Amino acid sequence: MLNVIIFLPLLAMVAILGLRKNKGKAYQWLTLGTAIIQLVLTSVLCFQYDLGSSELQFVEQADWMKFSLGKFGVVSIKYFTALDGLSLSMLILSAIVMVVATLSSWNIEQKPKGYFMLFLLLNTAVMGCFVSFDLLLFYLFFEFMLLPMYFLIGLWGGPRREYASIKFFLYTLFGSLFILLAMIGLYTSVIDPAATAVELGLSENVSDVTPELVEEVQLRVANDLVSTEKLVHTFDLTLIADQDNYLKESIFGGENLIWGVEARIWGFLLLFIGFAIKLPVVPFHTWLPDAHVEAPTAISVVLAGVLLKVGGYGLIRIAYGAFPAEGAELSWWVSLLGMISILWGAYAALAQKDLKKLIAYSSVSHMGFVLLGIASFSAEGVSGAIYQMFSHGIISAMLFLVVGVLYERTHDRSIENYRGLAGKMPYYTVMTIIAFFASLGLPGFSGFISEIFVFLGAFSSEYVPNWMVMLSIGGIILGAAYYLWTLQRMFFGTFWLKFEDKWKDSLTDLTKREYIMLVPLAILALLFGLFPQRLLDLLNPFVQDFISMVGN
Amino acid sequence: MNHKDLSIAEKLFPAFLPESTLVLGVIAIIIVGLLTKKSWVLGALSVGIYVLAAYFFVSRNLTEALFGGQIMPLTYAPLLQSLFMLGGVLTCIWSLTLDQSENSGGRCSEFFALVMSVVLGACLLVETNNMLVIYLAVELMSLSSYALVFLGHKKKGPESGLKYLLYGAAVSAAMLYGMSLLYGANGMLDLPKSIKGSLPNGELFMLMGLMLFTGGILFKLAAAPFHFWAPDAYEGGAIPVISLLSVVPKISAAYLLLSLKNHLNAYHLENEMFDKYWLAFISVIAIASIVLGNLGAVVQTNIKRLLAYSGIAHVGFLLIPVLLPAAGGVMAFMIYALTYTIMSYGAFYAAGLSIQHAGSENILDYKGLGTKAPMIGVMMVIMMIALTGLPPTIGFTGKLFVLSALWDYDQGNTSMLTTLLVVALVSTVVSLFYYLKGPYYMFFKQHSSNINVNIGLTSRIVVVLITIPVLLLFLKMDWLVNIINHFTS
Repeated sequence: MLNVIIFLPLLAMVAILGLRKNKGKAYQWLTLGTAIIQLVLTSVLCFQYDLGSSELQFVEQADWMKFSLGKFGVVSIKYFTALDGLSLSMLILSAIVMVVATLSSWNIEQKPKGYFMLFLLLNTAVMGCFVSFDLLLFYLFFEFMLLPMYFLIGLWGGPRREYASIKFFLYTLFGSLFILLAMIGLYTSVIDPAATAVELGLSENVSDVTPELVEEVQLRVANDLVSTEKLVHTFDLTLIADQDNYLKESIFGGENLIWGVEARIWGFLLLFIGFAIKLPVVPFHTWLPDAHVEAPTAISVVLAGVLLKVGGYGLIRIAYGAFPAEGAELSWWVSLLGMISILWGAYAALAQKDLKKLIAYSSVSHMGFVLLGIASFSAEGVSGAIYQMFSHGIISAMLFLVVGVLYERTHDRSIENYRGLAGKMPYYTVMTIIAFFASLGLPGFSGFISEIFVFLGAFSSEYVPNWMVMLSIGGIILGAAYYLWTLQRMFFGTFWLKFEDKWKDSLTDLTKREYIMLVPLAILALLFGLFPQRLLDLLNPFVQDFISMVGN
Repeated sequence: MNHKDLSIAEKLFPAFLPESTLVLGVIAIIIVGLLTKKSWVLGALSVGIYVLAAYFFVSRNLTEALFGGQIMPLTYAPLLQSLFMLGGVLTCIWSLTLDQSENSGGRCSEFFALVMSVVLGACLLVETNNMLVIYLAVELMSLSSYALVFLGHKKKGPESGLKYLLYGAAVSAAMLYGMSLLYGANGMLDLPKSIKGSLPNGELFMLMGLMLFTGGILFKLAAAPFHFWAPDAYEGGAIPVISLLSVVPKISAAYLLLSLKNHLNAYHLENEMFDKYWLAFISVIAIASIVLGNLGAVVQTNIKRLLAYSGIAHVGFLLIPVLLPAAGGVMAFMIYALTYTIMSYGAFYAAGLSIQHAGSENILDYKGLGTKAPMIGVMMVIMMIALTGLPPTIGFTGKLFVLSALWDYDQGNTSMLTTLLVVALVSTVVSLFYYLKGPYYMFFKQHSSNINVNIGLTSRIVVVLITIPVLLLFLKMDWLVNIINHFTS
């Protein structure tokens, strides 16, 4: 089933390649059909998922590549996809956002074939990212997001699209090279004990290997009783997370110092910076406002709704998964960066004149909570961080759609050019108010739940100093300030437009398609605000495992 | 002729059969060229000879040295020689699809014969450690290359060819002087043995000789700071020629350096001073090549010059395995050589198509080419992504193996190597900037009118045939490894 979800878009892409003309919006319908099937399948997975278990579920595992490199040993690369609470929640989010984004790109006129093919490619990459449990497979999907995104921003974006797209590409490539370096370090350091047992002739095949045998192999390897040619190096994330699988004489297994700092600290830093660029964390965030402002609405929705979450997901799954102790050691710095992101993003948002840029900076601010939550290493904090990723995915999608509605009508997003829109577009105003309030963390909406959990976790945690948490709360107050101020400036007061005669007729209230996009998102934001239990239950086994890694 | 001589000839001829095939091939092409001017006859003949020679190279099982140690049984030589044959075949077939007056100035038989000489020189270079043979092989390659560049472009060809010749001749002289110093220090023509350095006060001789010698090889490699000829030569040469020159001589020269180092280790002739200087020297060269190649490429707008600088940067990567110990280094080298060959040909082919259809070598003239002729555009994107080293292309595979070997050996303990690692990574970001230039103009800019978008059937087939391995061998990189392992066992 997971394979279908990942590779269905590729199939649709081939279908679009085969179609000569976009008759009756065939490209749109194909893309939408794909997204809806993905959503349905994901929902089915949700119902079949066993909440009580902390094991990986729906595992699909096969050898992808396996080769011997002489003295270095054997390298094993798997096609390994599975679900746990974290993966499943992100998968649902992606499926929802993809449907909405497809609807939002309904009116693409210019080169629709290329657009929808790239869009579907992006879809595959995103879905694949969240369910891959082999680091190389993850990296493949992770990099695969860059190229479609580059073209989607660069070809269908706003006036400064070329600058924004290349900046996006260079920044994220920089990040992914850090990840590549860490990845190389990890696979040269980590072995697969079960496969090594098979290689040593202790077992017929991998599925027969008992836990006792695994321990025996680990012991033998630790005592240098296994010749290096028989060692099976692996990219498997579940094995990377087990510190017993690290070789003694290796980059991340030994006690190497690189430029005076432990290699394992470097490993964590490499992964942290790599994913922090994606998240983004101040000071690596400057690509985000540019990319958002120039991207077409649908792409902004995907970028904010899903792509940023890949950063958070990678941090939790890979950076902390491989280097939990180092992560805990550095959590003072991580939470400092989280606090700075929250405040910096909020202050910057306060100063923006462009509505879309304001929302882009608010994303930076909200992603700071993710860092703060993870750094706390408490059940509440980590749940809150993941909940924040989910909730921000829904709410930011809605926010960018709201901006898109205005931009589609007037091609202008300056806050100062509008006044009193409430009278002219009442339903639009209602949707905007819902989106703004959900985003600023009003009780009843999902943003409130995640923020409260992050703060609870951070206050109770010994890893995060209290003064940082208190300053971070300031971010919420600033959030209220910039949202309410924007509402006041744009929507309240007497109706006035900068170019009244030109815009007056085009400023109509929401269309049916826009309702179909906005209303479900609003309902979801409310639903996850009022009934958080279901999602928290889903996350709980994962969160318990996560915090037990650092030995609390 | 007495009986004993005959038996030696009988023994040597089968062993030297592949090289002999190529030598006879060169002569045959020239003779056939006197009889006919039809380019496809000569092209088909060349391809046949390459295929035959490749078969002989792979099936020959060389177990002992030939000609008193002048030809050595080196493990990976047959694989590389087959690779060079592939390069020869690709160049010949490609030339056939082009206008002969542009490509070879109408001198078909000379063209094919010279290409074969380059390939022959490369084949000899990867199977010897003898300085005399090295010099002969290098000169065979170089002289043919000068002439090939000369034949190419009408206006630029002679200028580029002459520049290339002057630089090349000076460097050859220096290299020969270096060899004479090495020989003078030890009285031996075998390179690993003469490096051992047994004379009292021979170290200075050895060091100077070695530096001059390596300088000559690095010139062939177009590694910084011996790289300045490459952009000029590339600009003047016909595209099939420069795609040959950017692969075959470079890989053979780099392999010579690699086998030189491994030979010293294998014969336990380790020389501490040599190891120390070698590491420092090659690291500096690799860093300089990567940095200067990438920075040089950033400002280029001529696609041939851009690819020339990109080739300089890639040589930096190819040199990384050369400074690592044999265990990890050789595999990484072979993987990089194989992947670089394929993607370099792919990139040049994409460039060739662009030049042909936009009528210009300037990237700024490719506006809208990608939208009008998506096949060229998509191929360009894939090849540029491959050269950058991003998945899902073999460029990533090559980079993965080289950086893995480097980091696994270094583990952050040698500051020189760690610096090299960081430089290699950072430069990738820089390189993306210029590799995207082509795709950028092709897709992001509105098209100009004088673009010819009729792509011939042959070109379409070649595009597909070259693009598939670039993607497929990433998804199944174990195939590459297995091919290489096949030659070790």
